[in-house]
Amino acid sequence: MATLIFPVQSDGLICDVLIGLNDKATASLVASGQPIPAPILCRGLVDTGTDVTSVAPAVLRQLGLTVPVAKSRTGSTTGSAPVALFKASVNVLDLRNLSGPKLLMSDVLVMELPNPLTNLDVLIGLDVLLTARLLLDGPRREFTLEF
Amino acid sequence: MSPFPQTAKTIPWTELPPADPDSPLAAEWETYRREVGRLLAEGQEGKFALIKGDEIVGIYDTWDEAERVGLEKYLFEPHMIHPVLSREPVIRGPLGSRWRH
Repeated sequence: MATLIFPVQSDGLICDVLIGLNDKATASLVASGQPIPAPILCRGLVDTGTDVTSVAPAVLRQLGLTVPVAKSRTGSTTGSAPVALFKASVNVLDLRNLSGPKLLMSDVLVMELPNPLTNLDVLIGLDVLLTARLLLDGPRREFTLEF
Repeated sequence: MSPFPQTAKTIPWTELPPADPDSPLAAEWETYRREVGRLLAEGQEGKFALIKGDEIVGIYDTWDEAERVGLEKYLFEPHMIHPVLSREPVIRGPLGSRWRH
């Protein structure tokens, strides 16, 4: 079983994430002879209160993802609002150990963040977290993803 | 398997709100809203609609099939894939949370 261990930071359960095109879009670009945008290195927050991994609009635009592939709604007790859904790859890794394990999902439906976040690009939601075991060790101020 | 979110909270298809006219896929969303009742009546629930503008391009058994056709035909041009659902999921997300500005 692979393990990623991150320190708990002052702004929460922060991890390194690469966001890229999904495998099918990449294959389509290759087939049509178009360049493949490199994955974008992002600062992610583990957020168990989010069903779907959410990505900042600026990151999606850098990948050329300007048009969503689906729409849905996000809601809370205070109401709901439309959100745009894009296909992407999500790769959680530890920049301090680039040869170490990576939690890679090559084809995920991610949500465009409806509001900008300060110093964060990605909220890692339950769609990704439910593929791993998340362990929070409060006294040691660290959390672990096992997959 | 559908990558479309499956959530505890849902709303019936009859309560799907209109799209903001300026939003991406507004035309496709309105097409889906217009056609979903008919598609459900035809027994298409659980299948996947590929929509371009005001046209339903096709109905497919899997998301992957609809996505493949969409990429082949349109690549990054606007097109929408949507499962035909009698109840639409409502995603728990950042809206209304501590992150809202």
